[in-house]
Amino acid sequence: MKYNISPVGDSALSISFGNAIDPLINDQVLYAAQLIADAGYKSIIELIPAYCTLTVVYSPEISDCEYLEMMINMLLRNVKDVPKAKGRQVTIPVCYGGDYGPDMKNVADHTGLNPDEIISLHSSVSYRVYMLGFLAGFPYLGGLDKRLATPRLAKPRLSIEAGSVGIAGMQTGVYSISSPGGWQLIGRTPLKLYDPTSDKPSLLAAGDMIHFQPITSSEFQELSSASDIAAAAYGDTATANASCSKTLTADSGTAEVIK
Amino acid sequence: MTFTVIDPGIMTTVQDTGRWGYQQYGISPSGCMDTSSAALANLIAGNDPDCALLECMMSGPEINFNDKTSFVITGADFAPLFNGIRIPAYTLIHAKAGDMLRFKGLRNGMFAYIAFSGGIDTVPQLGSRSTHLHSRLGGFDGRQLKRGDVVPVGEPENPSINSKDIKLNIRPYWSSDITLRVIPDRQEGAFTKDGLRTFYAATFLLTSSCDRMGYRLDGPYIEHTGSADIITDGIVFGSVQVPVSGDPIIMMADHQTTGGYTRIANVISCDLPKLAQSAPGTRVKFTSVRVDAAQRELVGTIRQFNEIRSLVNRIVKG
Repeated sequence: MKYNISPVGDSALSISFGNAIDPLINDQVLYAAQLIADAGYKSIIELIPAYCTLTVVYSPEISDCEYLEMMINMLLRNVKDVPKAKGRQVTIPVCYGGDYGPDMKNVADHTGLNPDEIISLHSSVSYRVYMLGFLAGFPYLGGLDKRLATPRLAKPRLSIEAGSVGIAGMQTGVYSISSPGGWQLIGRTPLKLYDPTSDKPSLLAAGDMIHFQPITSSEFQELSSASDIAAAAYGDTATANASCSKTLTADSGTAEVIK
Repeated sequence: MTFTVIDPGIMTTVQDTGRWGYQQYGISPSGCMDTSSAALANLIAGNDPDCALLECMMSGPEINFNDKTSFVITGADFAPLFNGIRIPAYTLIHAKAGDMLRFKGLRNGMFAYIAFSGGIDTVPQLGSRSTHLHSRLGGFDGRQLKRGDVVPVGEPENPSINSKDIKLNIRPYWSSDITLRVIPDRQEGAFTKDGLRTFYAATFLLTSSCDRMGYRLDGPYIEHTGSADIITDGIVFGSVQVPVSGDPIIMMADHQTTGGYTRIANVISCDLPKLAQSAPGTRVKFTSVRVDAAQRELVGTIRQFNEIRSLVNRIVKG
């Protein structure tokens, strides 16, 4: 692997794998994180993967910067094959438009597409979770169809409900907790992307692939009232949440979503 | 053991050494702003370094003790009154049921710490009792303390602490002129020579936009070569970001886990406590140091704390 290590203060360092939003670079970030975590160095407190950097937080009392850099070089320098991120496939049900997507008209006006076309373009592709940050459980997604790109609101909202799905320039995302913000809101998911009462507080992890599934407002209500709603996820490392899949399959005929 | 909050003050939260391991999910580590004063409070209280305590911003709480409890105050000076009488900081005080602690008002510093022998015993979340308001985690339902809260305190490891004289001869004073030592960041390449010269030569003022998330500074314009934005990446407590406005923002304990502004440098760990305690209006200068020097100083500080700890242990056992 090609990378560059530099200190971020006296208790962290940053490993940079490039300077672009690119799945191949992000694969290197996530693979390096896995190798370093598996090595189990006592001095390492935590790893923060981002688009093209991995920040390593460590205790200089156990190893100093120079020593840790050598250990990381021994681990990474000779890596030739970087596997694709082993993320899960996660389906996120979204009720588009109406009260849940108050900016649908803005996006339609800007893109020249009608709401049905917007929903179809937004929900027909898979998005890569490059990283989490900004808010607890907030995913930075890649893969938005260029035709949907819409600038942020001129005047940000003071409060945006958790679960709101929006577009900002070439980005799309889901607000994991209520927060001020300027994204153009086109829908909302009843899924909790962040649950502070859970010991697994974030629904998503870097490397996951997500897919938005349109639902009606009555389906939204039902899913919201399901007590332990969680991801309808499938794939080799994930298990679908029983109550959520039941609600979806029984009442909306979208059984094909949950495998 | 418990105590009851009569008046919480401006912002009093439960904090410990922080919630580590969840930044990959966007959850800030939080923890104490002035880790040094907090560590000394736990030392004097005979506690482990990771025990939870109260952090009080700009004013102290009024609390009523419900049981026999020993406590110590460190950090900012808010003029503490115990049953109406002035008491010294950095000194273990023994309270009994019905005793009252309150504070007259801010004299110096920003954050005071109250440690209780046995530590605050709220339910840990994700391995920490630290309150993080944005993530609604830790302390009391992730919020600051409010009137009527009954705060649980654990049993001290050695009950004899409740009769011991333990004090440190420390009277800190936080000046309104500080120099922060920083380690240059790789991203300093995003600044012009003039921009870097400005950063290291000019005097900046701490603005009133200072909270547990970040401290904003005001000063001459720091010039970028091109864009002030980067592809979002990880940040740490002490990262100095310069957005397009050219005014630096220093990331503090509740910082977001990632940021999209260029980092010019990162404040060294040993200088973060004095920054945390600096009030709006403080004049700030930056000077560059090497990472190995900063790490030697940090390890030295940790060793000093360990020496104090064994001293306190001998007093408690003796």
